[in-house]
Amino acid sequence: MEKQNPNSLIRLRPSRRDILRASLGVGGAAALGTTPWTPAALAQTAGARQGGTLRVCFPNAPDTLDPHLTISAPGQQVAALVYETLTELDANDQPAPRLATSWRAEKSGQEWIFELRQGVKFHHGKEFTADDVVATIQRSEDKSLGLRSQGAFGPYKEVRAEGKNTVRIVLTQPCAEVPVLVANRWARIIPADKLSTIANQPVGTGPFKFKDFQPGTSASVEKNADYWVKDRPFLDGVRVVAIAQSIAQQAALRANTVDVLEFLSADGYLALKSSAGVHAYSITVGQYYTLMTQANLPPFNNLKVRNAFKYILDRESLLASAVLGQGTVANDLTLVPDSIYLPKLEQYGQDLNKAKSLLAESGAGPLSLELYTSSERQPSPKIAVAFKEAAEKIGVNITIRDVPFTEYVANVSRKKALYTSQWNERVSLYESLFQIYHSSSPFNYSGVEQVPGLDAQLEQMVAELDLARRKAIVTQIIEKIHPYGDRIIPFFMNYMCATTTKVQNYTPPKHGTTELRDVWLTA
Amino acid sequence: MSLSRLILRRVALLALVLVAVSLLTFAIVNILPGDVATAILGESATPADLAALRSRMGLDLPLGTRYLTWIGHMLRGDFGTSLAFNLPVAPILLWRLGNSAILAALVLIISVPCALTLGVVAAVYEGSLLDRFLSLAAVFTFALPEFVIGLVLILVFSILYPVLPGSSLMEPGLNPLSQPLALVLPILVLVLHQLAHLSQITRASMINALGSNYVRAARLKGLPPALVVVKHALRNALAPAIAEVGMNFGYVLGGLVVVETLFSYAGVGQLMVMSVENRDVPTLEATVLVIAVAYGVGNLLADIVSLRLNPRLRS
Repeated sequence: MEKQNPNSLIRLRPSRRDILRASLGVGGAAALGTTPWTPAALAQTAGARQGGTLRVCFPNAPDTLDPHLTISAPGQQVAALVYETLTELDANDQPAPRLATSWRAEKSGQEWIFELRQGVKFHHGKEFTADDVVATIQRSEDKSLGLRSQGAFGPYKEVRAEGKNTVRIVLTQPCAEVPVLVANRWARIIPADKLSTIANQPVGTGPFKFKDFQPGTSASVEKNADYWVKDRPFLDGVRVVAIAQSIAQQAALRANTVDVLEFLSADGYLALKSSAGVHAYSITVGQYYTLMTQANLPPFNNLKVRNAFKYILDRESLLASAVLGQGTVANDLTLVPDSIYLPKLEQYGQDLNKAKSLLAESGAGPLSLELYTSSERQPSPKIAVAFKEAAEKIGVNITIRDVPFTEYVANVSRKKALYTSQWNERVSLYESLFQIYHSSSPFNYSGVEQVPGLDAQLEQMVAELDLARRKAIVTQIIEKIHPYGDRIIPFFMNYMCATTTKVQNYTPPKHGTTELRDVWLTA
Repeated sequence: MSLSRLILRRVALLALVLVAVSLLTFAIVNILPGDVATAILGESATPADLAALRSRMGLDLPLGTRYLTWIGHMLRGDFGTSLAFNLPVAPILLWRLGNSAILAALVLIISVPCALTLGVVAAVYEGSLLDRFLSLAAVFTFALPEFVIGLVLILVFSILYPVLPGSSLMEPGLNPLSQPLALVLPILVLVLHQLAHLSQITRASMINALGSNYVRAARLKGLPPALVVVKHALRNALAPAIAEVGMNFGYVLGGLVVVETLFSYAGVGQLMVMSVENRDVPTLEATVLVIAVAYGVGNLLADIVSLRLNPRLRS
């Protein structure tokens, strides 16, 4: 297995202490005040060429233009070009100013005040003010709209404008991570005067303006000449296109039909990695594939059965076969691979004897289970097959059911006892622990408290502002989740992408969308 | 039956077929697990989100009401709004229909004359090495799915010897004909399949015609062999071949689904696949109906040509 290829970026993990400091308004953000903020990448772009259209290729086409509804990666990429968020995450995943220049907590983190950048204009000329943030959050949280962005701003209660450039977000409970949360992909700010048309006619403050959308094929944006960061962007425009087949993607990159391939498959990455004229990247991120053992359904409502199943998979060999080694072995925890919150723990590996004896102790009797997966979500079926083969060695009978993805969404997830699933990286503790395990959270598919006492600890964790105390609570939570959580996570899959050598200053995205503001093309 | 009566009857039948097709499509999509709301919101959506989105889209109304509303709009020329893209269906469909029509037309223009020629040559030299080679090649090509042929062509012509683009991405607003190179591989895949099938049909019916008494008579009359083949044999052998072209029209449309998806060609085939994946009923209905109309009209045209060629069929 290839551990570290020359092109891969070494991932720097955030110091959460810094996040906390910044998030409490003690740090650099506030000190910057209203002085124009300089992009960190400025130094590297001396001699950058203006002009050119960057063609970015995804395996699928943008689904919808509504930034609060799009779930496809290309749709989110278009939104990331047109819209901006209050904060953004820097290379260390710390919140940095974007549309907000500073922020501070009040009432122990139950209320957050964001000071907004002045002199920013939306693409239709309207000035960006607190009203836009209020309208954005209220739209996101409007339950009658059923938008995907619900909950994007934390445990939301209400939002108020306090003057033209100040916004107060009031929460139902203290939450230390709001400045990280508001950088997420659902929290993009839309203009208050365009709510009725925003679903089809994107208008944001971002470096690029919406140009056209060919449903099912492509979306284009063009340079925003009035962008608030001086001399940005370099590109005249970006076109997001779709090519489904890996081999056709490779052909398009080699023929210069496209400039960037996002969401490359592992075979595509390996085929392109040593090609002339191509930069290929494979970086560690927190996206993972999982086997869900639904905690509210038999036999997994038995803690011992859930624990036993964690010893069945041979994770190393699965990583090698399912994603050709492009990933990191995981330990059934939803935290990003090198999180500072991870305590020392036993690393799960294949131990069939232990699995067998735990199953015997559980009293569950001989098991015969259906394992659901979808070939439309590769490499999930490979995980299913590997699991079946290993489980049958200890007398657990597995029947694999491969269903179309839409059927999977409708009838499998949350409803069947055992199935494969896939999850994007979730940066904050709020997203990666609270939203996944609290019994009230929509992403806890079991809908129950998986281990007694977990809910209370999760609530305590979110509210705790002191890093050391928070870390102690996270350790207690992990001690419950590691043996008994409903997710078997065999590996984190790397994010893979490639560009032609014409593309300059490109950084592979850690959180799904690429920042193209600083990217330029050689002639 | 006179030609105009035949056309009238066929058009009336087509209308019936369209109603049946629309009902069937509607029923099938609604029987399939999952709907557009689950497709839009994805795996992590909560039941409450799904319910809200469904009511916003009118998916909570009874099936019958939804179908009648849809067909009512359709009869007034309103193709409805795509649930997945939240945009009117008509412009999306028309643009793609034009693209697919160009692809299909080019395939037919290239494949029909080539297939007829190959079929005639194979029949004239029946049993020769050339004939056996053509038959073998035809069976081989026809046995391979278009998808596999397409992948092999991309591998050879876009990766090993990069001379042709392996995808047909189009600039918005541009006619596909403005990028002829990008059309070569998709057309080639479809043409190869058409050639394989049609040339063998032509060969079989030519062999039949060449063995007939009237051809023997023409030969014994001392007519030049070329004239016998073209004027006497081919003219009679054409009818089954043309009927086959009509049938194959549907086959080309089916091939478009595969080829457009493989080469990222913005046509109706690709739209149909996406609409099924998205459970986007209005778009799927409109796409299926347009394809059904094309199929019906294609068959009708083939019948008319056959009738013109062979007056006996008119009785």
